[in-house]
Amino acid sequence: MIRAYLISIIFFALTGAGYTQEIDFGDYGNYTLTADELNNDDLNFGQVITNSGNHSIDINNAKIVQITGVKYLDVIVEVTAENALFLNGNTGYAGDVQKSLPLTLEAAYANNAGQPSLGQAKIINVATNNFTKQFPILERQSRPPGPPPPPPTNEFDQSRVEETAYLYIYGSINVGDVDAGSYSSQITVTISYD
Amino acid sequence: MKNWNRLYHLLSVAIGIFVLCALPKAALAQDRDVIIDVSAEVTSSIELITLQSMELAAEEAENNIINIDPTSSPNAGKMVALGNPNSEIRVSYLQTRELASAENSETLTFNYLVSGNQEEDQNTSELLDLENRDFSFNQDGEFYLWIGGSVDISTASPGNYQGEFTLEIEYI
Repeated sequence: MIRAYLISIIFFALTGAGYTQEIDFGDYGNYTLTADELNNDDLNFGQVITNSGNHSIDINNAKIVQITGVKYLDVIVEVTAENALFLNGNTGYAGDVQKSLPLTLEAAYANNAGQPSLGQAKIINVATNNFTKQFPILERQSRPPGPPPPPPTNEFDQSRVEETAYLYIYGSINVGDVDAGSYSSQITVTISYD
Repeated sequence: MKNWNRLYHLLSVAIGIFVLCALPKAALAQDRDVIIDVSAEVTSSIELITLQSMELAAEEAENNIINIDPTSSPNAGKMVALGNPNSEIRVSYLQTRELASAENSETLTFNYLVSGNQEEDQNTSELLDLENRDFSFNQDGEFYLWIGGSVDISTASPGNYQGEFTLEIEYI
């Protein structure tokens, strides 16, 4: 009786930790994925004066990353960035208010068919400067999802099922009573198929 | 012994399955990284401090014109600009301004002249003009300015006259 009781506890524990089913098609095909910088201009806030407050680079002047891959698939975009720009790029100044400029990142993506425009961009809710966002390379229409992509074979021509999505990275800095000099930091954007 | 062999085989199969499941994912994983540089150049705001006001003394007039040479006159006004050490700056100023009488509605037209120097030395300061207005702060973030000019007082009534002087300094 005791034994039966134990087995049932284990059974419920196992079923309680059940998983939703998800098939990540991107994991099972050798599809190529490219990420290119559309504009070579990085996020440069230019010359700013101490105590001048907020300086923004809006979406119209954002850094644009062009993501090209199989249009049926989702990509996961992982953005990793410091919360500030540091004097001479020295991350050792993290927390030093006199040698750092707080950075607030913003991001959006466009995955419409054809050439996406800024007006179609979808804002990503960025709570911190480190965030992850998943979206399909081509926006799904309001109908049931289509069939999975054909598995890559010798006959498979990815260019026939390719589409391009665009990622926009922009944001603002706050310039307080800091030391004069060059401030910099880096944002790493990692893109992979779901 | 038999049980140990069985366990060994079971473990081998389990490890084999694990490796087979794990390998394809690792082999096909495609991460693409893009590095974006974020940068800003912070300059300290420029501060202008008046060290000495310009003195217009009627007794120094020659042919009813008072001349104050900014490169030599002790009556020249003196200012110091403070900013980023060694940064390049451009100095501009309005050359002609009206001085208004404190007693009546008379005005005098004052033509300003300005000279500048990294060192606090008026005699070696350079006159500013449209072709010569780009300078730089010294290593202590200082740039000295002397303000002089000329005014015709032939039609002026005796009294006090006051006016403004506009000088603009910007980083270049």
